Amino acid sequence: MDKRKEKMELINMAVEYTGRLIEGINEAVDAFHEGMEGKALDLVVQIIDGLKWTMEAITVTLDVQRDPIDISEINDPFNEMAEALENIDYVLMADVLEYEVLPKVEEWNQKLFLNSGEPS
Amino acid sequence: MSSSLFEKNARQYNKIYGKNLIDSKDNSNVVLEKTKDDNYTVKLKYLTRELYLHSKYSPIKEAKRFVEKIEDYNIKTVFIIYGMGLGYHIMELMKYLHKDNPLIIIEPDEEIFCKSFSILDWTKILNRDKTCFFTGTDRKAFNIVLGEFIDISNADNIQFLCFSQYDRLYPEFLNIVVEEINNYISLFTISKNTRKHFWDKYNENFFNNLSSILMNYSINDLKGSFKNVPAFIVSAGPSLDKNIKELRNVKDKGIIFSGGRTLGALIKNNITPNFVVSMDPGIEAYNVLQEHANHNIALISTIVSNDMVIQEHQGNQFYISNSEYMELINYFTKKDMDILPLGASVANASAAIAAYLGCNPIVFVGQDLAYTDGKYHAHSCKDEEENYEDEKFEVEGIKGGKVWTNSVWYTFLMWMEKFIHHSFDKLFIDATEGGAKINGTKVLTLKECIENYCKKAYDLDKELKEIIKNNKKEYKEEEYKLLLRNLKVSLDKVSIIVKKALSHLEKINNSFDEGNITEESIQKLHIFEGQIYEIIKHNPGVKDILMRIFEDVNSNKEFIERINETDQEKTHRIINRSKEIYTQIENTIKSIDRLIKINMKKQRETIKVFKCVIHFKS
Repeated sequence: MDKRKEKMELINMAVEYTGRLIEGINEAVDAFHEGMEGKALDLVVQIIDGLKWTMEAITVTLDVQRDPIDISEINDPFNEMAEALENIDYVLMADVLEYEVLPKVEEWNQKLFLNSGEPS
Repeated sequence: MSSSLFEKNARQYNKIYGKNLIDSKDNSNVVLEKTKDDNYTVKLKYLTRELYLHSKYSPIKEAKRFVEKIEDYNIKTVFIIYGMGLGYHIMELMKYLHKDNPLIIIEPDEEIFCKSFSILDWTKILNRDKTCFFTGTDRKAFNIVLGEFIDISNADNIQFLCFSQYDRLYPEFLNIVVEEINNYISLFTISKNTRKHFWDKYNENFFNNLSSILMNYSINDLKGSFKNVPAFIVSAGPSLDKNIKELRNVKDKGIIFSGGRTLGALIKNNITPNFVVSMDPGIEAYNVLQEHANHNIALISTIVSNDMVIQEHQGNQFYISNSEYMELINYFTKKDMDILPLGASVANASAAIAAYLGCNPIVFVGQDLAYTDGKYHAHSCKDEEENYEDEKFEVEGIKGGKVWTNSVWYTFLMWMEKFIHHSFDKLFIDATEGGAKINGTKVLTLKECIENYCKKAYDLDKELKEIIKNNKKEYKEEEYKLLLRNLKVSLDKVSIIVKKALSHLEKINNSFDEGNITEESIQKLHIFEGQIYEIIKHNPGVKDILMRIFEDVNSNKEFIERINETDQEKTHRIINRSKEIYTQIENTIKSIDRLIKINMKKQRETIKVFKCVIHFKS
């Protein structure tokens, strides 16, 4: 399999994966608002892992993306998430997830979809 | 953010709550921050951390979310909100509330409370009826507020909502709040269930006791008659076996109150109590007296205490009224009869009676409220077969350390401590010599207690005879029968209306199935109800019999108007409510009618026997 094809396949996987990530973020936001902090924090751990994987996928496929994604845009929200976790501030955590991380991941999902071009 | 807004709110708050608020502008622990949607949030310094109370993006959206998740409420639901914050969620909630919904807003932190006054206009809510702004963390003050808002009709209709991170920011006061709410809920649930369970028995006891109530005495006749005489309240706890004999030394230097269960043990030990107290409406009250049911010691009971206990008793009786029979008591006796706070046990009631009589100190004996030495009752007061399976837990013991108790005893203990707390002019002594610690009591042995406090001798028998002589009343048989007959006539009138209403409801039901129900036919249901209220107005005795039904049905969530209910739901609800009311009234009147007939006949028989005796003698 040539390298380009491999990367395109990875982009397709990332489209599907970010879709699931969006669902997970929404679920975590709802859980925080409903006072189910235990469930919400479990989801946050998974979201962080998910974001890490997505960012790696974006980085290794940068050369085949027609409209390259700038993953550095997530740095500020990441810092805010770290601050929220450190302060055990669930209001801030829900805020960052809903108003910073979610729009970013939705944007990535859209861009990855457009980049995927030829579906596998 | 405006200082004039703060002043406007604070002025109104001061007018209603009589408290001055000062806007602490430079406080660094509570910092206002502009949000992305041009509102405000609060950044709170909490220990070493900083926490947001509201979303810093959209507190309005957050408020909407908070309110949207509320389910299962109606126009009488009591809303208790833990956490006022800046108040966006309260403003949102107000859009959904009916004017009848009680609302308690709790803000543990006065600084946050002040901040909210400079952000939103609270004057309308401050002026709203059935609304309380509670600031601070004072348990007693909160208990008083709850007492004003929660009653038997809404104790099962409460929405407690905790806003944002208040559960983690103010967890200690949250525990207190939850505990106090739960106390109220269980208190009213127990009373509601007891009332439901015993209602028929209450009615039976009341009508069967009625002639005795008319012939005997009111608790008012004893009020303050034994000022500063020591009172000994004897209960059947396991420790009673240790010191029961000591009670012989009280003699005429104190008043001994016995419950039904302890009477046999006292008599066996050659101790005659001054009063026997019997409260329970059920047959158990009679069963515990065993072979002593026909004693002639003065009996203190309520007007709805067990009728067998009253019938067999051979001495003088003193009656305490009951809030649900006050109008009936006035109707029959035309005189005052006080209601006392009687608690849930005979010892609770005896303590209240002793205080009402003026006794001081009030001494508890055998009041273990715990499984002392693993036992449930004193050996001398035991039932033949005692097999209790309770969930046990530990409480502080009278001698330090822990003792095992159960939830029933714990309720008695809580009541006793509350009563002691409020009776600050009395000295309470726990001379049980075992069991659970009763806060507010001085702990002494019974021997020490008698030596220290029983120094003066009283002629208690003479005093009691004097009270009886001074309050003797004429029993007018004819008048009593006339009152019974008139009550029956009023109830017959209600019966006629109920029959009409039930037959109308049947017709409505058919129309409802066909989907063509008219406004007039619903209106007619209200007219029937109005006619019943008119009868109640002219005969307060009927009020006591019927109002309980209206109160019960009206507090049933199923029949309370839901906010935003559809026309069809409304019609359905009104029909079901009417059905429930008229069916319950029909059944109640049937059983009261039977009781009135039995008692009218019983009087005739008594007269017959009386006439026979006279004839025989002459």
